Amino acid sequence: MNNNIKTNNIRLRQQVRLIPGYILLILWCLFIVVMLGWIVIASLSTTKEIFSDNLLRSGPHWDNYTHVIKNGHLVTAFLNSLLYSASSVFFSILICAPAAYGLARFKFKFSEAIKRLLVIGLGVPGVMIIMPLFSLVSALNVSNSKITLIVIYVVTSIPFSTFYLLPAFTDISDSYEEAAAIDGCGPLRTFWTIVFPLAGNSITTLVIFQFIGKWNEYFMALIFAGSTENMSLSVALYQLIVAMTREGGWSGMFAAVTFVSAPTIIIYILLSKRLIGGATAGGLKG
Amino acid sequence: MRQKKTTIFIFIAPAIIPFLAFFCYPVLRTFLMSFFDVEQISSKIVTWKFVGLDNYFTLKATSFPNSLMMLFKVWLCCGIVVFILSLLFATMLTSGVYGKGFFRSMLYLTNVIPQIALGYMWTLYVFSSRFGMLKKLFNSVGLEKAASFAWTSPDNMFISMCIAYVFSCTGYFMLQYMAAIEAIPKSLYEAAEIDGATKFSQFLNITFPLIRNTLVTSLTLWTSRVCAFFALSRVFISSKTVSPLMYIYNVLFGTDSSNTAVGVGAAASVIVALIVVAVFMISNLIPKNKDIEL
Amino acid sequence: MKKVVNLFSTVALSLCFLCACGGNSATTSGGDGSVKSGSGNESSENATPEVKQADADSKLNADIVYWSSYTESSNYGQSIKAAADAFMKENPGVKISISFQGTDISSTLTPALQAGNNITMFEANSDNVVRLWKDYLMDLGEFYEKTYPQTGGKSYADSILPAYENLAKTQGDGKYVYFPYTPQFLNVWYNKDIFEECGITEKPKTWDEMMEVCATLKKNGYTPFTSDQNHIDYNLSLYLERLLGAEGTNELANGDGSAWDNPEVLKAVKKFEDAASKGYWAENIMTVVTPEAQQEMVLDKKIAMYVCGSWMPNNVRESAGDDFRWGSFTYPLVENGADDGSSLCYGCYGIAINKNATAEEAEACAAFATYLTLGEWGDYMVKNCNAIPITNDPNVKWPKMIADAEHIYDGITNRWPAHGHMRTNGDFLPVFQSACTKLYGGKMTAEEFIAECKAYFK
Repeated sequence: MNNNIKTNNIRLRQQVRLIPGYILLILWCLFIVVMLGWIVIASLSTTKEIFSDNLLRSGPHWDNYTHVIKNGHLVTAFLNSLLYSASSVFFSILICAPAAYGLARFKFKFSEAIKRLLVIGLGVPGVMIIMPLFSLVSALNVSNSKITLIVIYVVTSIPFSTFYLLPAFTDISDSYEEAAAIDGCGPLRTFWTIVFPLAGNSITTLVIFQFIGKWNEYFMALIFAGSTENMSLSVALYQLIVAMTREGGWSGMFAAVTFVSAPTIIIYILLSKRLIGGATAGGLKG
Repeated sequence: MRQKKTTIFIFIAPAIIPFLAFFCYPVLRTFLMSFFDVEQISSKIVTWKFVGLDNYFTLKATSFPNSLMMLFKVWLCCGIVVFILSLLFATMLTSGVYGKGFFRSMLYLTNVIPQIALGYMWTLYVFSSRFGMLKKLFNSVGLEKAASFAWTSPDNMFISMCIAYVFSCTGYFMLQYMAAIEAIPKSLYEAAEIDGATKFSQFLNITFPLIRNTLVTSLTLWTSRVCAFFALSRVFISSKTVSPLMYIYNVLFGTDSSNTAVGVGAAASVIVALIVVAVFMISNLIPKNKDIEL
Repeated sequence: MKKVVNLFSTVALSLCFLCACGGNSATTSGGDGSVKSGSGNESSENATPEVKQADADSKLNADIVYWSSYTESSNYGQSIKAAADAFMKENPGVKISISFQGTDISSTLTPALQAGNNITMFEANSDNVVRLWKDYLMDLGEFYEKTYPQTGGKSYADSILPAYENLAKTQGDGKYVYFPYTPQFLNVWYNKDIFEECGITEKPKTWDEMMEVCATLKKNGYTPFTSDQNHIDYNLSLYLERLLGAEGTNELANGDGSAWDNPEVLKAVKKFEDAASKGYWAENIMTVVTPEAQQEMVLDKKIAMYVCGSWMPNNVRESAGDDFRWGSFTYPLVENGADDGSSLCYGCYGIAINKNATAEEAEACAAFATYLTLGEWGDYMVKNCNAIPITNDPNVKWPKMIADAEHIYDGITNRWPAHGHMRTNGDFLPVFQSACTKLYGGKMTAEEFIAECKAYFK
């Protein structure tokens, strides 16, 4: 009983001390709401209203959306993007997680050199990798196909994914593997069943980063899968943005942005609750 | 020993072999390109003309040095602000705030929306000198001087862009720090709490040392992210907001009628890449904590 | 922890699911040829031309891959698509697949051509066509000689605006390498109502006359000029072009910086400083962000003039409404100028044929290019996209909003780059634009302006 009151007191004190934090957080979020709200409202207004500070004066214009959806191939593009992002994230984790583990755990001749190479990879601007890659891809005569783009996404995410997971595996104590080895578990199985779940926090964060990164990736998608049936959502969106800003259809531009961002935001909110929440609750009970 | 070598191979080969083939080859090619006069970006190697360091000297007379300077300013100024803010938010959200999931999602949202659209939102709405949000806000609280601040004049464009950039980056790094902080056993904080340690000293003595590895990693990530700075400089147009990547893009593909210089663009990319490597080397000097058991 | 692993398997599962249906999702509903202009000016006159009966005699037989620098959702993209559909119906032997690349075509087309991808024809800004893909251009000389159903018995070369026939030949070093269409040019756009209200009936022909116009406007409570940061350089660049001619201006943009020491240049910039001090630019010139200034001009109707390309009225059509009356005059002559008014900044898009195309393919491409740019579809593009017609047929009227500039090509014998010489140095442009903004905003003197431009070249 006494103990309970004490915890409650601590709780209360804790919350009181958090008040400045709450204020800052709420202000920040308020601003985000206002700016997202503005984009949504602008997408339902006319271009004229946007520039004369009369948003929504003539009621919501849903035709901004119908125009964008009809002419932008957005549904196909949406499915394509889902395929590209999901499969490339899946495969990149599949190959990068073991590699990061290997680099973190084993010291061998080239381990430092490889790490350094990975970092160089992080720093090289995308344009300079993409162009030589294109000549490679076209020499193999596999350009403009869905699989090519997925392979390229996986390959180009290797430096980031591996580099990102390195510290996660470095931080995990090797007593787990020792225990597993005594139990007669092979190294790969030990990795996937024991070590991999231990890095859950970093993995889920990486999955989210990579998924959203690939979802928004534009340049490679344009070059390697630019045709209408292979088009990714970001390519479709950027084409819309360019067309709209070039021709002065600003409300349509915001409609395109809203239409494309909305599912991502919803998926993110739904997943993030389950994912990150779950990852934390699991914790490291070891 | 043999056993161990095969194990290593099994672990790293699936990632490293494609990496070498599809990543290092292009990087190498780009590096070579920077010493040649190359007509077009995918010209065959036999058509390249060796020019030594000429491309690097050419760079000196262009806006590239200025763009590097601009990038450095973004890296340092925005870096400090983003670092402090995201760490602050991460600690706050992990210390028992109600509605944690909601706040976390909200803060990360800015990362999900295409930067170019966010950029237009800032220039057309928040910073607008005609009926901008800031102008109205400051007017309504009677700060006329602040209300008439010219956010989008050529000289202030850089600051405005930095604000927009900080805003869209904070969520990303906050999420990373949160993941790291949540991996720290709660019992440490509970013990500290009972001992009467302040939040600040908890942060200094528990959180900070335990997420040091993540902090060091985020330094490299921040650097590579800043080096890819592009979309916002297309929206915030001024002579002070040209980023190196925008410069590279311009010399590689040209604007409507300007000339292209592939070798020069390659040289610029090499410099950008070297900077990231240098930052990594430096951050590598910071000792890591491998001895902490979690 | 289980949840992370669960997620991973969920991702794997959904991946399998997607792979399974990915193949199906590739089939999309193609455009039905209907076009929405996105503005309020849809009317029956914008209906697509009628598709004629399939021509049984049509000898055309080819599969064409057409790379376009427009985006599919734009009016242009929709028009091109509709024209291609109609063309295929009339010529059953021809199959056209269009790949819309947007402005990124300048980075995507080169590697695709080098890789030997099957691209039969492509279209982009004509400057880019001759600069980036000069090794892939077919000599179109024989096609310029031919007559087409759309040329009314004349040869193609005699059916297009002479300025563009000339431009195509100049750009191809004596050979015709592209079919021009959607012409564009730079000049001064103004609000006719404001001019009339202030009693200005004569379009200014010289800089001094233009300054008088500005004084009259100012006296009547109007602001003479505004500009967005994207276009802010045009005004001064055009002055410099008129003053120094092509070579002199080129030297300013691409030289070693010494050209900026020319006292004539300082004098020119002084005139702008002077105009700025009289308040001839909008008060918010320092802070407007593209496209705020042009929107403000047509919405508030308090600003009279804007120096920009011929695409500008179309960009603000929605805000301007149908009753906004655009006037236009060519950039005035300047004191001691090297140019006498026979030069103009103009350009166009060019449709080129890959030199590796077979004779049969090339013939089909040329037929489609003329089908798209002249005749009924050329007309359609004029109405639907507010494009300037490329045909020299006087019966084809210019779009109403830019009709005031209809005779701009008369007497033009010399071509300046589409956006002026100052823009041929893309690296210098941001410096120049920022300096112009400060000059027009009265925050910089002429001397400081020159110093800032020179500083770039050191």
